[in-house]
Amino acid sequence: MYLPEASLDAIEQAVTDQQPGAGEMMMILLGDANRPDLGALVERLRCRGIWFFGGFFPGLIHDAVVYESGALILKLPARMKPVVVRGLDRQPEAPPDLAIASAGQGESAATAIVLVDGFAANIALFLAELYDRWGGEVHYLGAGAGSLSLKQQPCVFTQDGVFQDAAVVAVVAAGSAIGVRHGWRRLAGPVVATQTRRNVIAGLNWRNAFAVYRETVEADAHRPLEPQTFYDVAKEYPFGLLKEGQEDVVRDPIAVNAAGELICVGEIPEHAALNVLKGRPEWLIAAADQASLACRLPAGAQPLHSLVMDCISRRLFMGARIADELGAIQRRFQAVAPGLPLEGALTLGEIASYGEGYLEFFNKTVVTGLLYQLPRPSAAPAGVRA
Amino acid sequence: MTDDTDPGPPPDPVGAIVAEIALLYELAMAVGRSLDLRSNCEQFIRVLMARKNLSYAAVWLRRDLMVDTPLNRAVPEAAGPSLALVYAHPQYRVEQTVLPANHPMLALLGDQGAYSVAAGQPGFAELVTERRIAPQGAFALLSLNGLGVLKFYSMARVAPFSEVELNQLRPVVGQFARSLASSLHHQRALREEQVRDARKLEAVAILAGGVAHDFNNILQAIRGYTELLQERFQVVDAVAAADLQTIIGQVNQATTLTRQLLAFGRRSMLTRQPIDLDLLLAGLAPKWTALAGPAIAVHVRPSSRPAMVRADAESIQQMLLCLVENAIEAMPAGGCLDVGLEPVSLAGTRNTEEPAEVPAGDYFRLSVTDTGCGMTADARKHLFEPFFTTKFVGAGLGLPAAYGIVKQHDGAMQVDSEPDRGTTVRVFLPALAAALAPETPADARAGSGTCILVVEDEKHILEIVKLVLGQRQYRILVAHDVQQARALYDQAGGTVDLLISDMVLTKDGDGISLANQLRQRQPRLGVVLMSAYTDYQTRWPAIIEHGYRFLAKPFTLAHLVATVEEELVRSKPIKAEIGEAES
Repeated sequence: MYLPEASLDAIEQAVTDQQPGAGEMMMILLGDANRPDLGALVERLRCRGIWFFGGFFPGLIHDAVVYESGALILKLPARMKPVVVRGLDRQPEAPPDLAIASAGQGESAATAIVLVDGFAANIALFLAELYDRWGGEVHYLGAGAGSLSLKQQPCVFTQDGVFQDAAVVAVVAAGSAIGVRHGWRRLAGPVVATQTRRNVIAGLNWRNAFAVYRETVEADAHRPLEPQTFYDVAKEYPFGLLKEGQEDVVRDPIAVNAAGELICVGEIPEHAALNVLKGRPEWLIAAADQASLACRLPAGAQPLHSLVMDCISRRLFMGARIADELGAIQRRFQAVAPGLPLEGALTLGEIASYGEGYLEFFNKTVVTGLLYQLPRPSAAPAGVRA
Repeated sequence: MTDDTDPGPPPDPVGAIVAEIALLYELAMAVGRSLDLRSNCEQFIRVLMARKNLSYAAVWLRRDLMVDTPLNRAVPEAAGPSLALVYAHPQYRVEQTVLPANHPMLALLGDQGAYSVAAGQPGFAELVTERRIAPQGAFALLSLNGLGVLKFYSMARVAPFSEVELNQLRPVVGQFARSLASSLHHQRALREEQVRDARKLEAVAILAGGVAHDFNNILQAIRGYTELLQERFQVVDAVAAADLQTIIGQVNQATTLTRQLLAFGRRSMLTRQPIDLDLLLAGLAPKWTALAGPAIAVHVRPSSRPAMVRADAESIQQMLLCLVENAIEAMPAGGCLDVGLEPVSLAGTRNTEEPAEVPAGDYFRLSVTDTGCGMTADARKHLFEPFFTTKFVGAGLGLPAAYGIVKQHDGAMQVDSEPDRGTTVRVFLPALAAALAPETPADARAGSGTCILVVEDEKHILEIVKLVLGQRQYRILVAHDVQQARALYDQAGGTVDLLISDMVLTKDGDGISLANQLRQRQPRLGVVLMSAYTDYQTRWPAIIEHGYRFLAKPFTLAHLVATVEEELVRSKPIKAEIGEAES
């Protein structure tokens, strides 16, 4: 449910009204604008003895409409208590063991919703550790939380507190069908990231990163790319990291520093080959449509929630046409899950795995997911032994 | 809606080749960035997996090339060198860690140096040495220049990796193999140094233990005669008596030193019995937090399962206290102290992360990490030598004593430290065999979902029973008296599997009557009765008649857990049979 007013009282009341019981948890996504004090919110809900997790985001999505404030509150079946993994500024803590039954092939028994501090330095390392430990036992869907002000602050929470440089992971007792697409296309490249430090590109093709990037962008944009107005132009020209058999993994350059180094959202491996990408609203909308089309429910599945994590930078790029993108996703989902509103957030980075492949942190991408439950297998007839 | 009229960019064969070269360049640059075997593998494999969108990758090396150890020497390789798994990602797929020399993987790879097969083709099933590999996707094998095999798997593929793809990768993988050879050489050199250091410490420990033992006898004599003199002078010469007291004080100090030397020399008197390290940590954590003060954040991370070892609890506490005190002293300006505990299996693959001096097997790894000043390689080398200290206080016997305690428990100790980057001390203690059942999903765990009703009028005992069993995933209901117990049992609606009750409940009855009542309603209810009274024998007939289990207080926590597990095992098969008969 979506609450236009995210006051402590309103959220507490909404959570109480949904009556979460044993084996259930609440996901609370907050819009960055006019959000309540997270510490006070956690204290209030902790007193109710329930499991919950969440974060704040540049925007919320409910029924395919974007809101900059308010709260989105979803009750979810829980496999385990939501957990926090700290230390994403240094060496992330080891994720806990995942003790759940193995899923059948092509289906997931559970879905991990992963919300990270979008400004943490070691998100890729954390995801690698998570995948190392949990692998394909669950499907993954998640996003980077935080503020569009680009100021890092505590932005994710669970019943255990409010956290910065951390991730919260909630394992939902529901399968999921997940789609990941972005629609950006290669304009130029590859160029080699010859010198990088985590999310900073210092050198491209053995030259200053900004100089190389500016040449490529200005040749296509036909307008100057200046440090002061960098993102006005750069938002249309992200980088793409090669991933075989899939779209490039997008990295969004959001600023340039005095040394001509490009600051990106997400890590850039040193020596990686990058393409400079370009987008058009219609390509991005088509990609979102494809992502939702990829979410196929198994036979007999009962859909629970239609979810979307859509990068805030897509909205900054597309403007009002973000409504077309969300509308396209909702139309596809309504065909298989009628009556379920499309819900989610405008995010600072998106998280999913490509099927059974590597778990990735994406930029400028849309991750769609249908959570579902399968009917329990009927009991064996009397007199028949397994 | 999809824009079906837009076909997207046209195919670009030149761009495709450039992209392939760029990928190979990135892979080549990821090779050999560390001499450490694991880091070397990790950096290359993770780039390979990310770019090729793989589901699994592993590095298998010939065991005869691994660092030589008594363990490896003891295993003859009759049919040629077997293979050991030295790196795999993701870990959750890992199943086999050693493969015999005649494993089909080597035969399939043959002399070609590269091989790939997809699901449904002959040879695919023989290659599956991992968990949770579906009958779909494709495997590829690439030779590591005779050192072993690089194996990877893509679940997304429906056909084998093409010859062109494998040929593109071969030079880069060859380069990776050469870097592995360097890592192995480095590992061997490091291990030889470790063994040399361990032998040197061993010799010093024997000497120190012997000296301390003899010195203790001398101190005993000095102390005895001093006390005799003290008795004699106590009345007649107060000054002499005071001087004699000073001598006794000095003897006490000398005794402390010799005890530490004895610990270092592994000659302490130990009473080893099953203890749960998890509980030990939980009990010590508040003391460490108080000791650390407000400037140091203390995190204690327990094990994900019971951590049973056979150990002398007092010595282990002494060893942990020493490590924690050292860590705190290394952070005068504050920082983070992290104490972790986790089960580990030492596979005998003998990479440098595994301690040299203990055999393969299941262990619990205690780690104490600080963010303090760290130490130089030279200081690290001498750390366990008696009387070596980097501090201005202390005799330099704390860590040698801790080291001796660990050795006396058949364990091992490792230290990682760099100046200004903190220190991690890892202690490996052998796990009790019963404590390390194969990891199974929570639903299948002994404790998971099993409901235990605990009835005890003594608050502290109730708390400790609840804590211990709760940690083992049992669902615990607690009651202080019979009336409350009955109410809880009714509320639980027949889901209680076991009753643990004190025999004498001061308020309103006794455990035997309660057990009898509940057994009438649920004939297969497990029952464990406890008592601190010595006359419980008078109730033996009633206990024996109903087949109840009995725990005499005080009991060890390990005994409590074992009794509960035995009682549940005793009652469960009967329940299953009844269930089947009823169906």
